[in-house]
Amino acid sequence: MLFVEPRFFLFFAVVLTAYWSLRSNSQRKWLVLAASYFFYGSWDWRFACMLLLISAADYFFALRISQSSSDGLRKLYVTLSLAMNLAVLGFFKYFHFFVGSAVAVAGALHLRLDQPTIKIILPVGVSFFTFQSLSYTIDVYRGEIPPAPSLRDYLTFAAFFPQLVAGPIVRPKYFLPQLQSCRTISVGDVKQMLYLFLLGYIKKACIADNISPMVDRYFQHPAGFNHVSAITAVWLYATQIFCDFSGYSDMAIAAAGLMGYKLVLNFDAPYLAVSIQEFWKRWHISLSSWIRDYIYISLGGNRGKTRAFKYRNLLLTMLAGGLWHGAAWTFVAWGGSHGAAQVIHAEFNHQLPVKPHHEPLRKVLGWFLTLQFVCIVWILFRSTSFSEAGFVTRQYFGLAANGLDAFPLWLLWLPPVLLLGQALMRRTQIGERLCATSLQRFAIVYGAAWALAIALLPLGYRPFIYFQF
Amino acid sequence: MSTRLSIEQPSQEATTFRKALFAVLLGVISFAAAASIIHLCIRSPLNLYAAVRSEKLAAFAPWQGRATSAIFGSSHIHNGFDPRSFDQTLAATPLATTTFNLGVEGGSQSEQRVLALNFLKTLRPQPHQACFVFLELNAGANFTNNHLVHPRTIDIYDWRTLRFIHQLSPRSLGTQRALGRTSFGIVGSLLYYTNVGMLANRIFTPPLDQQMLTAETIQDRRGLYTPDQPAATAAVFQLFADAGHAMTPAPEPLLPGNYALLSELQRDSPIRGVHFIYVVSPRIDNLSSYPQYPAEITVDGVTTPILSMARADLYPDLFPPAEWIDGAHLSAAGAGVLGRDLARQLLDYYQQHPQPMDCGG
Repeated sequence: MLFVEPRFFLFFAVVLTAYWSLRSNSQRKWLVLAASYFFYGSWDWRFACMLLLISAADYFFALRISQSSSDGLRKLYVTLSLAMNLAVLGFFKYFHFFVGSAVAVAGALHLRLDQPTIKIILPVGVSFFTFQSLSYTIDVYRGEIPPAPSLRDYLTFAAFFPQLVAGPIVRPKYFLPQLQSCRTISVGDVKQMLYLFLLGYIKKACIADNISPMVDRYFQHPAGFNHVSAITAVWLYATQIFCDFSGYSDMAIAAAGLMGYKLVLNFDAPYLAVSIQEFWKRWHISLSSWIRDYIYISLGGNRGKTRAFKYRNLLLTMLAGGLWHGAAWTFVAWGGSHGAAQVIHAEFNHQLPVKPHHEPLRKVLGWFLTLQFVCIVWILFRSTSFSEAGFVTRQYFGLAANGLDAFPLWLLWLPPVLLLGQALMRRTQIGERLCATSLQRFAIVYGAAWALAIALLPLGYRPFIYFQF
Repeated sequence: MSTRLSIEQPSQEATTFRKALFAVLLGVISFAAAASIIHLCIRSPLNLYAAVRSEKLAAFAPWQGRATSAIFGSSHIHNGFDPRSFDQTLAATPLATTTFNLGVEGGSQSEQRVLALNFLKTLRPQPHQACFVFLELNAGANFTNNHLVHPRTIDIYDWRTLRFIHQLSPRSLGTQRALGRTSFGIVGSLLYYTNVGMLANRIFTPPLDQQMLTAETIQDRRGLYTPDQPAATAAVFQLFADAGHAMTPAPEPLLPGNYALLSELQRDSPIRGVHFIYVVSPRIDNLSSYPQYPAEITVDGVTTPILSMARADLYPDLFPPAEWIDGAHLSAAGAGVLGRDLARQLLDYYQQHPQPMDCGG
């Protein structure tokens, strides 16, 4: 069940009506829990059972951690939780990757290893819910939060349907307290959430899904295209992945918000970032902060005596972040490239500190270079192999033989126009202004906007890109 | 000051509820108004963007004004009618014509209706020219879900199509079937009138499948598509063995929609003298029983023949396993035989029922 499908609209309308009809918080939580498992079970009930087992086990581990006075026992339970979650993630997501890599290494050493032929179905959103579960037991272990007051509350947190399959990754210390009180919502909040839902829908369905076939067409056979088409395809992909993922996040935040729950902001116009550091503060914020808190800081963060120590941690964190995105070396290289860029930028800033009179120029240059870099390394993210990524990169720079096929020229202008539109929307605060109008005026604009959005909707639903992660 | 829904007094809650209801109503009205404006701004609402259909229209484009006859229907026609053998058989007869195969995979009555109406507008016949429009009588009423909910939508479900679907869905078909057909039509109409995907199709027009386009146009195929699939397989032999040779007739009722389609085409055709013919496509299981229709029907004073190719007793050449790739689709050789046999049946019919062949007059 995708957020853009009519059956989700029906499901959500039923859940929302029932939710606000119930008076007690306890009943509402039962409803949200049941709806969440129904939502996840609509993909595969077997995985819903797996989610239930993992969540119940983590609840149990966290309870034991908080009840144990012995450090050894506490460590044992947190290790068991880590092992269980990473084993699930490793098996479902990385089994073929690790085995395939081992077979390749063995082949290079002239050893013969057979690849096992088991077929593993990836549970949708496995990277999200395992990370979320992990953060719960680690936080309880670190003493940052008490364990969830009841199994039901924890299960509701772990399976909360708006963000279950593709984030934002919600921290227990942020979400669990929200379950303790009966949620309320103001008319202003309703307008804001409805606006956010529509914005997300437009990004995902009207932009990303329309662009997707063009990008697929190019990446299926890049050699058939010319240099300008390579630039167009890479820019379109940058637009697609942003609109797809941030659109989903917007809809998730809005769906949760309409039930009175607050989720964290996940995107903040990342392509307007003026440095690579800033990009990661604006792109997939819930993941960036997760890997910062649980990987970068666990590795020592910037507490070392040398800059090299910090840079090493930065690189390792980004490599792990890359691997989180997908079980392929191209994803690792993508994460590594971002890590390397952050190291270079940090060192550059250290060697050449910003002078006030240079700041505007540096910002413009920084924005341009950051955007170019991000677009170019998206090639690694989208390609299925290094050879394909190498070819597309050469073609992007006009260094590969030109094919005959070409996209219409106006498509090259679409990404810059959309980016400009986003910058203008932020500057003019169009969303905030719309939400500040009267309910009647809001309803008129909102109804008309939906009519336009539906006309721009391609009917073949494409899954969200980040589902696979 | 913002209003909190769950902590309000009942009277305040009722006021908020009324305001919310009014806002929803305004939103719906605004949606309908905007959708109507968009709908009116979209010119030429017929657009068959779904798979195979766009390619079929592109293949037909160079033949507009040159083709004087066309055949419509489902994959049984798309894969099973060769315009070359058909035209060759009619050459040097008063019925000589140039035919294009406008059948499509999954094609339905609703689709052949719209395609035929549009084909009639493209006709530019010379004097003393024979023009035929062949319609598949036993095609399904609606598109399959795959074609309706496709990345490239089919924008044909206007109120006329909906009425036509209703005419093809009498209660006599059984409540479930009749309701299913009508409901599908209603959903199609909702998509059509709310313009779902219509702008997306026009702005991000998908590229054509060049392989399909080539397959339908090489060697003067004129829309015939023969899938790359072997004929006379073991499965086909098994179907023949299972079918036996009873050849029992099974009377099939004609639906009000079958009459309505002819009436509409005759009325709306800008060219006079076009002959409309219903064709019944064959299947292997026709060897055990075949649908029995009347030989002809009369609508608005015009008689239309029903040429049934589902008769193994009349067309034995169509029924060896070598002419079939599966239970319902002919092979390339079978398509040639059907084209030839249909032309012969047509000649027979017009010898017995002489009529002027002069759509360009």
